[in-house]
Amino acid sequence: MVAEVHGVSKTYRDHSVAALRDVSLQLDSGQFVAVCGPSGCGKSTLLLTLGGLLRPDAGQVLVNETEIYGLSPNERAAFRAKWIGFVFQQFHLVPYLNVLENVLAAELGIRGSRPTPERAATLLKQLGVSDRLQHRPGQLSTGERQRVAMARALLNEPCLLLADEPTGNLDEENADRVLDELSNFADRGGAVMLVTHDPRAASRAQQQINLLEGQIAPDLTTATRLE
Amino acid sequence: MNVLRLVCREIWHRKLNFLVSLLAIVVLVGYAVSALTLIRAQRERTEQRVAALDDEIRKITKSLGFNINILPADQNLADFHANDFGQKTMPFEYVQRLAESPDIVTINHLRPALIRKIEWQEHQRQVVLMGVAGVIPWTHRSNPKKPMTEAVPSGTLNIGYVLAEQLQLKEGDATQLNGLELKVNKIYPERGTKDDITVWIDLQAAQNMLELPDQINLIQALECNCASVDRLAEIEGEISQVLGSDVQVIELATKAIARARARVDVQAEGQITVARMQDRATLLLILLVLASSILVGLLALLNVRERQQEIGILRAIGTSTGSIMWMFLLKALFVGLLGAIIGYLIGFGLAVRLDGQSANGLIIESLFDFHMMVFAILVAPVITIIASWVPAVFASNQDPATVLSME
Repeated sequence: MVAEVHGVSKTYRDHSVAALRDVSLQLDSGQFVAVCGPSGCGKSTLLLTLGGLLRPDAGQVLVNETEIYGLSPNERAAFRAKWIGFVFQQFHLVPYLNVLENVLAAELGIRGSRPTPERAATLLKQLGVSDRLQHRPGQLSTGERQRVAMARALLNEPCLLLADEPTGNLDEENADRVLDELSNFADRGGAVMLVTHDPRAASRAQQQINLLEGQIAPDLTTATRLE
Repeated sequence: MNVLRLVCREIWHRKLNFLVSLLAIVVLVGYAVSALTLIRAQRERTEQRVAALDDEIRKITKSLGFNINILPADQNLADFHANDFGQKTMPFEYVQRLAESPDIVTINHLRPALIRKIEWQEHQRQVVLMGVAGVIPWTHRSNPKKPMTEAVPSGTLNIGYVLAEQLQLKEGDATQLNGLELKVNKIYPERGTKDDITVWIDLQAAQNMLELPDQINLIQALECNCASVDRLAEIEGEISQVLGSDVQVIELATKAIARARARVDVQAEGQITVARMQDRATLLLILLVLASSILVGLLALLNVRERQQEIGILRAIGTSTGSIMWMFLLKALFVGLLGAIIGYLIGFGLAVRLDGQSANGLIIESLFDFHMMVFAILVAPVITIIASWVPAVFASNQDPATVLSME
């Protein structure tokens, strides 16, 4: 099992609203899950919690059989660097680094042997931005930026990829390309959690989980493998 | 990719932030270095002037030493200076005690005298009578210096030039001084002082003539050589060990004294100037340290706020809090180091220019202070790091979830 969430609840103090209520789910190797639901239902909270970025009020989160909130903040950061990849809607590329350096920024948290620049270049080639290695994010199209962010997420060969609305700012062609990459990652044995509003993007997942007011809606959750 | 490269890229990207911080440190270090260099120049100049006066004093006193008068303690100095001799007397035994004391080391010659203004009855005119005993030999000195003055042989007199001219006396002439038969031993060349109307006779003869047996009113201590600049105090110390407070000591005004006083004045004036410069510089420096620290800190804080998203994503992809903190502190270190180097060069150049080195004859090498440079290079980064510490901690403690949820 790549990731397990057991009875996780989270309430934001400033809103006094329960973002997650006793949520449990599992992500296995090779699984591509889409989390859907209306705004404010707790999708992003679930993703951040699973990514080790937001400590839940209750429950357990295990990634690669490690209770990630049992680790110290710096151990958890190193764990994230090694095992979890993130892709965001806003790309979050570092504006003053070029494409290659942005991808290599993922190795900052790696202890021990680090991925080589050659691996970064190979990933960028696979994602179709190899001719843009020395360009800054500001010089790229939105699709190219998201593919660079994707390469950064994949650099350290994580076991879990968390994508928060990665196609939200992209045209159809670029969105497909990103979704293809997520599927490929799952096919290679990784687990993917995609948070999205977009039914078309969700349809690319093997499994769809619907969240409603911080809870998984059983009647809306399908375990159907979509063709 | 490493933190160093990230910091260099960020500095290049946000040049203005870096340059303003750098400017603050350049101004701080530049001011500190120029102020300290100017103070150093002032001190060196004072030392040069003092050394020049020391040299003059040394040259003047090299062969002569300097002279002092030992007077009875109750002698009024105003009277003494008005007449060049005093009415009060002291026992001749004092000079013997001094000569026998091993504590007296700075004085080379002791010459007792009894001086009075008298009426030379045979010629019906007033003269200064000076009874002298030559130089008193030292008991404890193995190699006494050659006496610089000789005694007046008994039965003779030495006489000043003007008096000899007026009385038409020549060396070898016989004359009478208030009934005492004397032969003219020596006529001194014209000096333009009271010496020109003075008659010198043997001390004991003078004591008898003046009916002051075993009394003297002056001991001249000649060719004194002291190690310290405050030599009068040194000699007074030696004499008081032997004679207690029965005598007082005054220094004969000489060129050496004038130079010594000038030296003390120059040194004191230089110290006052340096102290004044230091006071002003210290005050302004404290204000500048505070102002530049606050500016660097605020700019670092601004930088942190501007980079919230970047910090959030770096934290999300696993960068440790230590690395995030190091990113900001390393930048502060660069600001401090570069600011110190540029500030030192500007400050030193400015000080040299302001001080007008060529006019003062100080060479630039003498003002260059390696330790000050090292100090500036060490301290400026410490200031910038301290100023950036809170923003760096703030950055490293940022919650990535909060930042990433803000999209």
